[in-house]
Amino acid sequence: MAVNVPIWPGSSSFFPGDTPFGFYDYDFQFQTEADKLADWCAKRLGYPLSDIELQDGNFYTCFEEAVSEYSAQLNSYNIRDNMLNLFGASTGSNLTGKKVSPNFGGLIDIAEEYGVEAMSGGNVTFYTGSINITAGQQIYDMSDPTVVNLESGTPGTDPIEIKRLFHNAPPAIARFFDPFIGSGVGTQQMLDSFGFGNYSPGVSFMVMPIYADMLRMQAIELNDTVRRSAYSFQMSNNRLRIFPLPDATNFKTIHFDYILKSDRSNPLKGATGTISDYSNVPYENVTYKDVNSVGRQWIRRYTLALAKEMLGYIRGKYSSLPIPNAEITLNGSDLIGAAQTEKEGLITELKEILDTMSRQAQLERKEAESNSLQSQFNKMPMKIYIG
Amino acid sequence: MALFGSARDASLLRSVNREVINRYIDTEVSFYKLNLDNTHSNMYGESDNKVYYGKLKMNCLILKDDRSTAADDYGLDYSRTGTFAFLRDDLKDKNIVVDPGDVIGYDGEFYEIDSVSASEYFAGKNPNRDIGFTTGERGEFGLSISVKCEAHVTRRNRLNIQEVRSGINKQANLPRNL
Repeated sequence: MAVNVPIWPGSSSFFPGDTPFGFYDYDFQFQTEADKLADWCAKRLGYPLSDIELQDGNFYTCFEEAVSEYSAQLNSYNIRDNMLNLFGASTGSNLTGKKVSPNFGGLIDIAEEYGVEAMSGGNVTFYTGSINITAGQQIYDMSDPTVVNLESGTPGTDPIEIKRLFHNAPPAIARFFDPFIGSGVGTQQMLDSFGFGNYSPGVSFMVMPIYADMLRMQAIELNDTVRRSAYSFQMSNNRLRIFPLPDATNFKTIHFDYILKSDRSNPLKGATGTISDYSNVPYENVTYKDVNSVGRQWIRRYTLALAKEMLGYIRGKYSSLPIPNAEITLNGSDLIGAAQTEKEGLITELKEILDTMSRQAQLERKEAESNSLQSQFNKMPMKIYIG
Repeated sequence: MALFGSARDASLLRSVNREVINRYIDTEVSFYKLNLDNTHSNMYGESDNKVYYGKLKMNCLILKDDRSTAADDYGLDYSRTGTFAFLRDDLKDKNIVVDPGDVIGYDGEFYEIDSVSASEYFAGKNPNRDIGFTTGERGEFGLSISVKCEAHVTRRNRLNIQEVRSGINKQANLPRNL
């Protein structure tokens, strides 16, 4: 018994499950449109004057693919336009059909790297460490675990970078009342002796202009620089040289802030389950009933192009077909060529439309509009009240 | 196991053939099947008065040769041959088996079929005779496309299909004054 595979009979009846993926099968608008679109495509391809070697399932497949393609193009555009606003957001919430508010999240993420280096925040932890000072020893090996203590990591094993070393002269304010430096308020040295000098010189209750205090502190610092050995250090690779020569009586420890280099170069600083790239931005297929008439017309035209391409492949499977006592060549290659041109044209058209709607393009248009408006206003006669 | 020319492809081909032959080209001939039961033959199996069944309209592709004229002592005569190619599935649907001796009427002439062949296959296979298919080892592949008939123009007065010498013998149309 010969197999007779039915071809398009002239009508169809859509049921959920007739499409390969079933993305839109339960959307009433999709169900309604499916049969109409199949009929339209068949007629646009020549039915009923010529047979169309397709079945309703082929048309439904094209329809589903067209909606998905429309959705993919739209979502690609949305991702591209919003990527910086979406980095780090949760992947759990569906963004389809929702307005994405601009935010500085992505920008701050990028700026955090700079913040680390500028020591004004960032995403790398600053640890504290210390060096045990030995009397008479100026040079210390920062990789020596017998000398260096780290909050995290092991000296000599985990590469660190020292960000700040606390080896400075006491602040001038602390010696504001020192009777021996020659510039302080000597009559009140007892405050410093009792350890109260770090608080405020305001205890003197003297009505003095503030610049007098500033001048006095500058004098103390200049005095230290000229007449005394300044507190300073040199750091080169792992070698730390401190000044002045320590006697291990005034201080026995030098503290410092550091980062682990592995922390800084760790690329995985964000939390898991967040948007990291194009692939996990949570956009899903559009809801067909929400697509407007402009979008639906694009989908119809793309469906037709797909159906045409499919028919072309069917008719072109064999370069020539035998008929009684002769051979014929069908129009498969013509259909495929035309369909591919139509598909490319439709994709280009959609991309161009979407590009004109990007946030940047909208702002540029508004700028041009306001410039143009301003230009028009400039040509208006002056002294006309516009209420 | 063959990959090409499956039953689905054959179905497509059948559909295309039917569309081309019955809808696009649509060249109709009248087919007269020889009625053997009512044709009386002599002891040699020959018959001067063949009887045919009523005509059937069929679509086919026709290759009609040029007429060749012969002049001899009996006067002028001509002969012509032609090839008629039927879609085998159409014949099958109408339950027709074409045999030599059947007659095809086309373009005011009657062609008596001399030979019949059905050896034009899609993908080189006739599913009715395909060993793999008939033994159930594989699915249906191929298609027997056509039934091709070689025929020659025959005299219509021998066919008893048309009344070629009939009518009323009228009086001569003589002038009125006689």
